[in-house]
Order: sequence, then C-alpha cells, then structure tokens
Amino acid sequence: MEIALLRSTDLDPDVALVKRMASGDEEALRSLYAANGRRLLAYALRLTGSEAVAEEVLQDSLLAAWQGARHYRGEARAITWLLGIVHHQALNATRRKRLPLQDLDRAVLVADRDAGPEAGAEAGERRRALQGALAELSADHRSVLELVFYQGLSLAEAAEVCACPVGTIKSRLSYAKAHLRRALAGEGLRAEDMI
Amino acid sequence: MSCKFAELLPQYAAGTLDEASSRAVAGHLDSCLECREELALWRQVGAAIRAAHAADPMPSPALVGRALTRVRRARPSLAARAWALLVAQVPLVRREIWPASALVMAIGTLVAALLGDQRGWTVVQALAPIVAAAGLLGAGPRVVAVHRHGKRGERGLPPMVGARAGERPRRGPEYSRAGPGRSPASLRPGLAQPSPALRAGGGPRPCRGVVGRPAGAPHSHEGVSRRPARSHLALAYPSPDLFPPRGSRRTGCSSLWGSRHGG
Repeated sequence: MEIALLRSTDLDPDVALVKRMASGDEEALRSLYAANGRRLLAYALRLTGSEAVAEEVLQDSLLAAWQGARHYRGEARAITWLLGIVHHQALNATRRKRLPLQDLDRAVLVADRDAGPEAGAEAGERRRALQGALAELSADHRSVLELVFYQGLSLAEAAEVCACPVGTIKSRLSYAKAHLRRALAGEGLRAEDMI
Repeated sequence: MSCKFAELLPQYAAGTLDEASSRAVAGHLDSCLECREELALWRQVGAAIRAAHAADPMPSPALVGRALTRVRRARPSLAARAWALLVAQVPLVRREIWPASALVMAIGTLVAALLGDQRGWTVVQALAPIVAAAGLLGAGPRVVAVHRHGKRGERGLPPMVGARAGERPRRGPEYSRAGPGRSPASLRPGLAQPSPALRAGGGPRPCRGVVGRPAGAPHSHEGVSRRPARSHLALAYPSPDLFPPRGSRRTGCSSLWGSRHGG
C-alpha cells in the first residue's frame, strides 16, 4: 500500500494560486486577493494605524508577492508567506514615512460601539480596559497578538511572519500577558473574575 | 508562571492548537487553577482583538487592479528580456558563431513578438538554450590548457590533447611523451598552434614535476583542463594523480590545478 506524505501546504488552495502567479497568471493574483485581501488589509492597518497607508502597503505587498511568487517553495502556508510580505512592507512604510507608532484609538472606539447592548456592563468595562492596554503595547507585541488571535497562526508561523525566532514570539506573548494583567489590576479587575 | 502548559494557552484560546496538544491542555486545566485563570485572560484578549476588527474596512476591488498595473509597468518588454537572455548566453557561445546566434535569436524574437507577449516569451525562453547548445556543438574539439606560466593554450601556449565536450580526456602516448620542446599541437592536426614568440623561446618553462621524477623531465599534464572553449559546463576531469593519497607529496606542477598541489 502506498502512503503519500502530504505537507500541510499540499491542501492549501492558495498555494496553487501562488504557483499560477509565478507562471504569470494575473487572474491568480485577483483570486488570492479576493480570498485573503481582508485579512491582509486588517494586518496592515494594525501595523500602520492609517487606512491610506495600509492600502498603500497592501498594494506594495501584492506587487512584491507577484515578483516573489517564483521563489515561493510552498514550505509555509500561502497566508503566512503573504502576511510576512505585508509585515515587511508595513515596517518599511512606517520607517520611510516616519509614522508614529500606530494607535488603536479608532479601533477601540469602534469596538466599544460594536459591543452592543447584550454585553454586560462589567464585561464592557473589562473589554475597554483590555483594549486600552492593547493600544499601549508596542507594535512588535501587538503584531504577535494579532497574528495568534486574529490571523489564527501558530507560534512558529508568527515567528516566520515577524522573521524572528519562536522564542522571541513566546517572550513577547509573556510580556503582553504581564502588561495586560497589570492594566486590568489598575482598573480594579482581576484575571480570576474572568473565569 | 512555571507551568509547562502555559506557553500552549494562547494557541489553545485561539483554537489553533493541534488535536493532541489540545487534549493534553484540556486534561491539565481540570487540575490547574493558575492555567484556568491565564486561559480566561487569553480568551478575553482574543475577544477584544476580534471585536476591534469588526469594523475593519473592506479592501477595495480596484486595489488589485492598481497593483497589476504596476506589475505590467515594472515588467521589462519582450525585447528587453530577449536581449538580457541573449547577453546571458554570450559566454557560452563561441565568438565565431555569434553572428549566426544573433541572427537566429533576432528571427526568434520577431516570431515571438508576432505571437504576443506571453506565448512569445515562452518561445524566446525555449529558443535561447537551443542557440547556446548549437553554439557549443559548433565549437567542435577545442583545447584549453590553462597553465600558470601563461594564458590559455589557444592563445599561444602549447595546448594539450583536446577532447570534445563530454568526452573523457585521453592519455594517449603522443601526449605523455610531449616535452617542452615538442608541442602536442604538432602531433594533432587542427589543434591551435603555439604563438611565434613561444616557439622561438622553446616552449614554456618545464614543470618541476612530481616527487621522484627528475626536475625538468618531461611528464604528462594529466589533469589539465580540457574543455570546450567558453563553456562553463564541462570542466576538467582531474587525473587521480593530481589528488594523491594522503602522505604522498607533490611539488611544483604549475597547471590549472597548481594551487592545489603546491604549484
């Protein structure tokens, strides 16, 4: 009986799109954008803090993805590869434009509005406190949280996107946790209350 | 927190942990209050982050169009790509064949231009290696003897016995007997001739030879590169003599491999 060894990327439909891009298929780039554009823009927005700059970053990233498609070997998931490009382009853009570290004020306000009446007062207060604490984190720490909790990447994949060792990702998570605990304690909230 | 499961909790909260690890964490949580508290914190963090994304703007469909416009603008024209490919093949193709190669490439590029950008580029990509291969075949038996005393054999130094591309060099008797004063070129018609200056000078300085051989005594230049000219494909077939077993010592043979054995 033959046993085929499949890599996790073998089942990723986006990998086939990247391969088509490498052979010059423009439609493949459109499909890849349709499938992942929202996630990529969200990540760019979190890193740059400006919608205009995030769109610019995304456009640069699509161009870079097109040009780099023939070097993609399918070892990582296509979304990991794309997020890595966006991460790199966003850092370049913030450096080039000398943008201040992005703030999440707008996002926080939006989240408050979207919490809805069903959310209890205490839960709302806790969420506000958490979002305030998240906004105080550095871009490096916040990007790790974004990658793990919004983009759904493993720690190894987050390390690949940020181009750093997995140990660095773990230490950033640990720092973020300590910071968030302190912030909650400052608001008179305890982690035990959340269980 | 010193619990070994602590570093798995963010991924467990995000739902991205693999099945086996998830089961292990779930089993552990029953008995560890500290981990339960931490998991609750990570779940709150995840919820806060996802809530903040609820009002993210949708990416504009025009954005990918703009990116593709930049892709097309950044892409070099078919002619520029064909020219770059032609230039890249130049080191492979013998100088005498350049005009013929250039003509074939020009005709190919013209045909490719008529076919359109994408299909045309495929034609050019297929054509260029064929032109290079034809150039190599046209080179025929070529002799390149790189000697430390001078330049390539074809430019004035006594050449070594030649070999076609891909053919193993022969160690014929006429070659092994060839001394400094007797160029193998005289033994094989069609081989490059030594320069007049070299002929007048009686050939290159003799090699000092291998240990055990009298200095200056003629010996074969086994191991000297024989390859088709301008080809990066077929390098020398070094004689086993050039890489003697550990312990044996060579002195002074100043051939292409001179630096390898003390030359």
